[in-house]
Amino acid sequence: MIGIHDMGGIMGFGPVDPEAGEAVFRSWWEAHAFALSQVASRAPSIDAFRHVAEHRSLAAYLAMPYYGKWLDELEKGLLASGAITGEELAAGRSASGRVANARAIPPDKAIASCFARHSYERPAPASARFTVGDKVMTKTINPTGHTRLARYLRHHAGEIIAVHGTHVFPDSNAAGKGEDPQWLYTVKFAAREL
Amino acid sequence: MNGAHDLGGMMGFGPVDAEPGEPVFHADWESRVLAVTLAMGALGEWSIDVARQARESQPPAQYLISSYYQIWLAGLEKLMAARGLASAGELASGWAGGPARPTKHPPLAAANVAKAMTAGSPYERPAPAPVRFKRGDKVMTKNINPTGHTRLPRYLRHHEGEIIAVHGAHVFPDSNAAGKGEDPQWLYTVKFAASELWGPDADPRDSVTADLWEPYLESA
Repeated sequence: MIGIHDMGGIMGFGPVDPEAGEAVFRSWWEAHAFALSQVASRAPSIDAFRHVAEHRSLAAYLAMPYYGKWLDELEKGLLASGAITGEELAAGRSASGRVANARAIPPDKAIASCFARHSYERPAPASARFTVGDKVMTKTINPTGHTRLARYLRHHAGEIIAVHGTHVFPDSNAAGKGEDPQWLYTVKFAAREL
Repeated sequence: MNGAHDLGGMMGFGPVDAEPGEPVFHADWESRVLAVTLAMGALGEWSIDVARQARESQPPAQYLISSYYQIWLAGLEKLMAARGLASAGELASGWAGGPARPTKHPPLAAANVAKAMTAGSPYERPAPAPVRFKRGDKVMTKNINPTGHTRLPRYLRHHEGEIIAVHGAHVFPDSNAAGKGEDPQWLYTVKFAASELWGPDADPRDSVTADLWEPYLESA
């Protein structure tokens, strides 16, 4: 979908202020939001998680800090799956003292999981269509679901400069249609073309 | 510029809630913003294109949480401050701190408001050059990315369409907003197939038409 997250080309945000010695987390709740997302997310895949994050009113998206979006999405997922109730969320405590459908992860495994690099490479379902140096044209598409083809890169000519093997296709995976692995390329576009 | 106002193609706003019996103004201050904006416009200190650019150039997060007349008011305040017609202190207090500086045109007298409103403001001008396209011509919109005001929205750039009407020469907003004069240019209505703009998922019966100035167009 073309949400406000698809920022390539949008003007008017003003200067980017790089913060000297920027902290990993600006406050304790951000660290908690990150940790909870690692151990308690009910999103079926990273792609589904991203789509929920994008699928939010445009003004709310821009007003929320980065981990505000993570927390909001985590809460929505926990509520939708019945893991917690609205009353529990408001109170900040479990009503029964336990969590429904809990799959508790011990702290050492949670920490290892945070630092693990998950691979999305998969066996190739077919041979690669393009090679380095091929000229390609991105498609004019307008999906309402999750996509990794940014708006500003659609309908433009580019050149394949690397072939990365086959990877989980986010457009299919976010839609719950399975991993549907597809060849992944690095494509270079002249700025003048864009 | 590609600001938050350039909404064509953006998703995620949710349904449009049509309000039955919608009033012209939702609050008294909205009618005052309209009136003050028109009164300030009558001073001749800026054009409609400059005013539009002032509204559009707000930061996207601010623009999207603002109502229609909040956007008008923010644009007006920005222009008044930039042109020395109101200081920050005057805007905050709501009162003039001293006599106003002379303006290009005198303030519009109450007795002349109705006449001025019905007269409107035509933007058609004598043609500076022969017309380049005619009805039925296939054209391609240019791939441009101006940081100033433009009436060629993002979703219509770099696409093929067909001229379906020729409207004479009109003030070119891109030049006028930049203070480069009226620079009149031929204005056309161009029709685009929805599938050309949005791809194979678009309904093949749908099309989009837009009024576009000649500098946006090339022969296809």
